[in-house]
Amino acid sequence: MIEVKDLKFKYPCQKEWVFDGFNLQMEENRIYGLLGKNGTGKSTLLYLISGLLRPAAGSVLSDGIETFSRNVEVLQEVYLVPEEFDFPSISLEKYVKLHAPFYPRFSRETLESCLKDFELTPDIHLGALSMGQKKKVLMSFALASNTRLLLMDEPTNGLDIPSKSQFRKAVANNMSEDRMIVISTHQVHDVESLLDHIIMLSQRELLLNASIQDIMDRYIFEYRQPSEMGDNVLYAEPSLQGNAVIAKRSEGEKETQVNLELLFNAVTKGLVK
Amino acid sequence: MKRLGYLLKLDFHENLKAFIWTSVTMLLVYLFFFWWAHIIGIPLEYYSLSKELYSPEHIEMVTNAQCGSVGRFGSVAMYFCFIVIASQLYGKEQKKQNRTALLMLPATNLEKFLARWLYMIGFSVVAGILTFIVADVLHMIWLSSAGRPIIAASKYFFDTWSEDKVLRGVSVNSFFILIHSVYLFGGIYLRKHHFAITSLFLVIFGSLFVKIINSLEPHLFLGHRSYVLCILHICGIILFTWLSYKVFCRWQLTDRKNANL
Repeated sequence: MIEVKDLKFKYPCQKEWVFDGFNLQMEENRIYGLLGKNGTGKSTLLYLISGLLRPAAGSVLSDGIETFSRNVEVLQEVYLVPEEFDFPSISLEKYVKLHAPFYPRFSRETLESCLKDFELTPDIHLGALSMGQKKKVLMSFALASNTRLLLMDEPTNGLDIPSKSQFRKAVANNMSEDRMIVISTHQVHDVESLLDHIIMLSQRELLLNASIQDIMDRYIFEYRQPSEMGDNVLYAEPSLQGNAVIAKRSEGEKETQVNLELLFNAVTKGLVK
Repeated sequence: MKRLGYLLKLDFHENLKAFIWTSVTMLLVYLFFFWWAHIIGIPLEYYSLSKELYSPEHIEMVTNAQCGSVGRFGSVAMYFCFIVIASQLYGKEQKKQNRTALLMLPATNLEKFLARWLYMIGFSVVAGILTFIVADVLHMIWLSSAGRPIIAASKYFFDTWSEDKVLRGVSVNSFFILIHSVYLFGGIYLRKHHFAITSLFLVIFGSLFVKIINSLEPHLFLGHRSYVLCILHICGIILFTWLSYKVFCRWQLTDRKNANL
């Protein structure tokens, strides 16, 4: 479990706090979507959770252990897929040989199955790959590490269209009860069907922290013609199919799939909480 | 212990290119010294006023002088190589991507620091010392093919670092290790221009320190100046190595503009 308590953080040489008294709790067996505009602290929160940054005050705990202590037991259970990364120019086989021993539950079978999902073979050389392919390799390695906490920063950036669905498949196949995945992204459509909990950040505050089920219980997402708008509409955006609408859901009404982009716009405008 | 081994293996593989390039560069530097000594620095005509140019004694004397010169220059180059390696120990990690990779590795800060430190020692030995021995062997092969007496420059190379008196030897060597540990600290603490800034710091504070020591009354050392200096050097080595480790433990992904704090 991840607990963020009264977190205060700002970057050196910056006046503004990125987080000021921020609180959050995250649990296993969930895939969290971390959404927010640019500069709201999504990546910073991932770095704080992974122990790469030190809070000015408050704490970030992973199973009760301060993450910045970079304790081995914590690090063995965390894998961060950063937005930008470098691979050494060696074969994947060599890379696995060098890095896998650090992760006690690393599974070669999982690695091979993820690589297969991404249409890659294990006999590749990392120096000869495109950025998108490198990302697929890193994500495969991350999933194969079997850490309990998997943090991904913009995982679908640089992936082509088929790779995005391959990514969803690989993540869904390797989700387990004791695992927690946090995906920070702007590409909400790429991960919409994967997420089961949404965290929306704005400057220094948590705009929304709700499970997809909870959102589906409370709201309806659908397209309506201007004549059908009704009183229960909370937010609407014009679109080619009519108005994309978020409306209050009444008891007994059919559940609809969450439209994350619409929800994001409504939440950032303060129309849905 | 096992993790330390994994880290060493990882450091070795990930820095292999730098390792090879530095070693090859040092080998070329040493070979250049040999070439310089033979052709320009101390040519065969040297000392020829007193002796016949091609007499065996004259050739041996000149070859000895050449080897001595290369040995001394070589040892200075080796020390320079040592401090550059120390100051660049975490040079790669100034880049965000590499820093993330290092800090996220499941190993303790001590293991990461120790592995890199041991790697630095190994790297320094190979790039600074073994390459000199290789260059010397190549030089001896050349001497033999040229019909010259075979004299090893390594003897002079290592003699530079050894002293007849044990205490003076410890004092001199501990001084050089102290300088080395200051460069190590500079490499970990500073974000940019590690070598230049540390050198500047050493020049300023080093001269201040020497001035203070020299201005002190000799009786303050109770007649054991070398002992006192030795202890000061060792304390300095411990302090700077400990500070290096402590700063490394506090490393973050994004630190201050100029310092890793």
